[in-house]
This record gives sequence, C-alpha cells and structure tokens, in this order.
Amino acid sequence: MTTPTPAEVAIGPVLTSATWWEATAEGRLLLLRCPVCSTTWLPWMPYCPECGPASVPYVIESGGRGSLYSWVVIHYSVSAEDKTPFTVGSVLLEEGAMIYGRLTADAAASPRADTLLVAVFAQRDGRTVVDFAPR
Amino acid sequence: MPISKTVWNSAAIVGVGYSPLSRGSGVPVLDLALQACGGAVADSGIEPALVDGILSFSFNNDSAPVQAVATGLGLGDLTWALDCSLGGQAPCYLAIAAVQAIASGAANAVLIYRALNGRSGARVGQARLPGAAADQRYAIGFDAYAQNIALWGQRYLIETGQRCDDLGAVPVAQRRYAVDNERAVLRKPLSYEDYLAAPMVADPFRLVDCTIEVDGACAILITRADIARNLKHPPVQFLSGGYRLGHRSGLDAGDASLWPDLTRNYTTILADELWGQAGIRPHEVDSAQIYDCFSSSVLINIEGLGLAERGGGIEMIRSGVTGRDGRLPINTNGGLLAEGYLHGMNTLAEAVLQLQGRGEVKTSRPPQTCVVTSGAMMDGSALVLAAAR
Repeated sequence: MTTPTPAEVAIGPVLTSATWWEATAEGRLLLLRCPVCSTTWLPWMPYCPECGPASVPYVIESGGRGSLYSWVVIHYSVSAEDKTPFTVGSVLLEEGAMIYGRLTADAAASPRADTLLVAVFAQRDGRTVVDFAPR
Repeated sequence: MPISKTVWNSAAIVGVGYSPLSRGSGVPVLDLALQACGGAVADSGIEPALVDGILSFSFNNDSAPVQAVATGLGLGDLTWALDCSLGGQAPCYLAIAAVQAIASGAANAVLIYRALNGRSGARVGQARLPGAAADQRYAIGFDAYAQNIALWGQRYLIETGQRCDDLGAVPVAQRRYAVDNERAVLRKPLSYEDYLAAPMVADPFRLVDCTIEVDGACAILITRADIARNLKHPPVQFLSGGYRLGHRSGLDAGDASLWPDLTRNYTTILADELWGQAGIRPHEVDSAQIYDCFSSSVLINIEGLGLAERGGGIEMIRSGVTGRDGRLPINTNGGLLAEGYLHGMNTLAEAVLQLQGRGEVKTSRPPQTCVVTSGAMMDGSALVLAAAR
C-alpha cells in the first residue's frame, strides 16, 4: 500500500448521510469503523474521531443489538407535537457506536438502564427510521 | 498550558448593565443591547472614549451585531470586535478572550454582552440545533434542547442512584433567591409540592427544571487593571479561568453521541487547572454562579468542579449549604431557572455584583471569591473571580 499524498488525505472518502438513509430504507443499520483503532461510530462523518484523517474508515453493518444508556420521555416535541408522549433512547450498540432512536411501546413501558434492545425499522413521515424494541 | 498570572492580573471587571427582563420587551434587540451596554459603561464610571473593544455571542442570529452596538453607543474607533455564534458556553470564555486582548495591548476596555428577544422572538427551546448530526435526530422527533440535556440528567440519576423527583432540590433552592431578586422573571415561591405538581416536559425534566426564556440583555465591562483602580466600584479580579472543547465533542450542539460519559462535562476536564492556578481548593471558594439551563446541569457542573462529591450535589443543596446562610451560596439571582435565560451572561454578571457587595440578594457572608461556569455539555468555560484586595 502506497502512502497517500497530502491531497488524498485531505479529500478523504466521500461519505454522505444519504448512504446511511438508503441502507436504512433497506432494513440495514450502517456504522463506520476505523481500520487503525477499531473505533466504531455514528453520526456519519468522513474520519475517525480518534485518528482523524490518518486513517480511512470503512462501513460495517450493525447487528442492531444494544443496551439502553439513557432516555428521555418527550411530552412536548417541536416537530411531532401530535404524537407525544414518546420516548427517545440513547442506545449503545454492541459494535461500540451510540445511536439515538425511539423506543417501541414495549421498550418504553418501564425503561431501565442497560436493558437489552434490538433495532427495528419503522416508517415515519415518509422515512425509514431505526427504533429499538426489547430483546 | 494555563494562561499566565501576568495575563490575569492585567485586567479586571468594572461594570455591569442590564435591560429589564420580560416576556415581551416590545422593542428591537438592538435597544436591549444598548440599554445593557450603555448601562455597563455608565455603571463603571469609565470615560466612554476608552471603550475600544466589543464582544458578543448569539444563537441562530438572534442578537444585534457589535457594529450596531458600537454605533448606537456613539463609540470612537474600535480596535477589537467580535460576534460569535455560541450558546451558554460563551460568557466566561469571552471574558477570558477580553482579558487576553487587554493583556496583549489590543484593547483598553472591552464590553461583553448578550441580547435577545428570547421569549417574544425566536425561542431557543423550540429552535433546531442545526448541524451535521441533526437529520437523524429530527427524523425521530428528538428535536429540542431540553431533550438533549434530559439524556444527561437521566444518566446522571441512574449512575448516582437518585430519582427524577430528586432534581426538584435545585429549582426549589434557587427560587428562594429569586423571590428577593427584583430582576427575576419568576418570583413566586416554589415549594417541593409545587415542583412535583409541575407538568413534565422532557422526563426527567418538569417545566420548572427548565430555564425560563426571556427578552432582555446583560453586559459587563472589562478594562486594564490600572484604569480599573480609579473607577466607581471595587474592581473584580481574575484568579484563573479556562475553556475546554472536549475530545469527541460531536458535530453540533445537540450531538453528544460521541461523548463517552453523559454524567461528566467540560468542568471535569477543567477543574484541576482552574483550582491549581487560582491557588484555592474547591472547599475554600465561598460562592458559585453555575450555568443552569436545566436543573441537572447544576449538579453535573458542581460535581465536575469538585464543589460537591460525585452524586452528592442534591443532598448538599437540600442541606442548605448553597442557601444565603450556607457555606457556599449558589445562583444567588435565582439562576437561569428563575431570573431568566440570558444564556449565562447574567450568571457571570451576578458573580460580579456579589463580589462588589451589590447583589439584589444579600448572603449572610459577603463572598470574597466566586467560581463561575458557562455551559452544560461537551464544551464550556469557567472563571475563578475575587473581590478587590
């Protein structure tokens, strides 16, 4: 493998969040992983938060399994006013990335820290989004 | 490397100005900014011609620019001016920047202000936090500032073994101060029963765990130490200060998904430097003005700074330590929770007034030192200030 020129490093891989949404629409949850330090992350961004442009990340597909890190029960929402209350969780995926997702009614009934969850795909406002259900 | 003692000693805070705080000012933001900035200049007694720097911060263009303020105040040539797009992490940070400008010779006297029609105009509580991580949040209806901070508050409660209702200690204690603060927007007493009866907004936050949005402006004036000595009020000294944008701080103000620990924020990173350079320990400081956009932010900030033990903030507040007769009065204006949401500019101004013996609310022992924080999450700033010696 040849050492990239500074220009190549500066440009980096072309990763837009459209890639992420296209996969979600197909029922796949994509994450980014660093080949150097194995850090795995969302949100979608072109470089590793630990290594920066020194490495080029690749895309992996998550198994969708995670645990509940924190949550908020939303009683007033700016964009989904008519659908409250609902619960948004901060979910730590087994691959190491943290993701925000709504909890299904079952998962939201009595949320507890570190509850085991699994990603499910739901249609909302014309988009496929990732929710989390108990497992 | 910390900012040198020589830099801190080169400047002092000499004036404070406010516009009235209200739910509907009925005037343009520029008028509010001019009231606060003109007020701070007059309050200090400085010759207005000496003012040659202005700094301000805003969110989603909700303020009036420094150019307009300089013009409206009839100032001469400025040598230093800056409009920053920042939130509550800014006030102490901008004070530090002003001190650095003065120490370097770039300015002699610098105004810092925050002005907004935050209630009758664009409301931050309903504003989107734009940025690269936002589209995923908005798609799931996770779309308001209170909700972001609620994730921090909930995780804090989980890890410290406390319950949502326990957060009430913070707004109840701060309201006791606000009752006696003429400037505060919320002055009705708040009992713990009132707290429990308040509606849930973003569980674990009830309405009264959230700052009250207001129209208003607040300004302070910082000048050269030699000028400061000959003005109206005793100058407030800088002992130390710092800003931190923590590692993995995310792609926008609402993105904490890369932050490793929602129970610890920038204060944890900043604490050692802050106390080390100030030459006092956390248990020795005798007042604190702590950024409180939401109740849990007070707890994470005071524990991060070492003012309370991990998980001990609520019990400390309940015990009266932070009240007017306590060892460490905190948020003596009622805080952003009750005085009003000027994004922490009023938090810093309250520290100045208390150290000058001019607070609306008098504590039983006038403070000689004060720690001030700006910010609740991944980045923020803090100062340790002292009364004139």
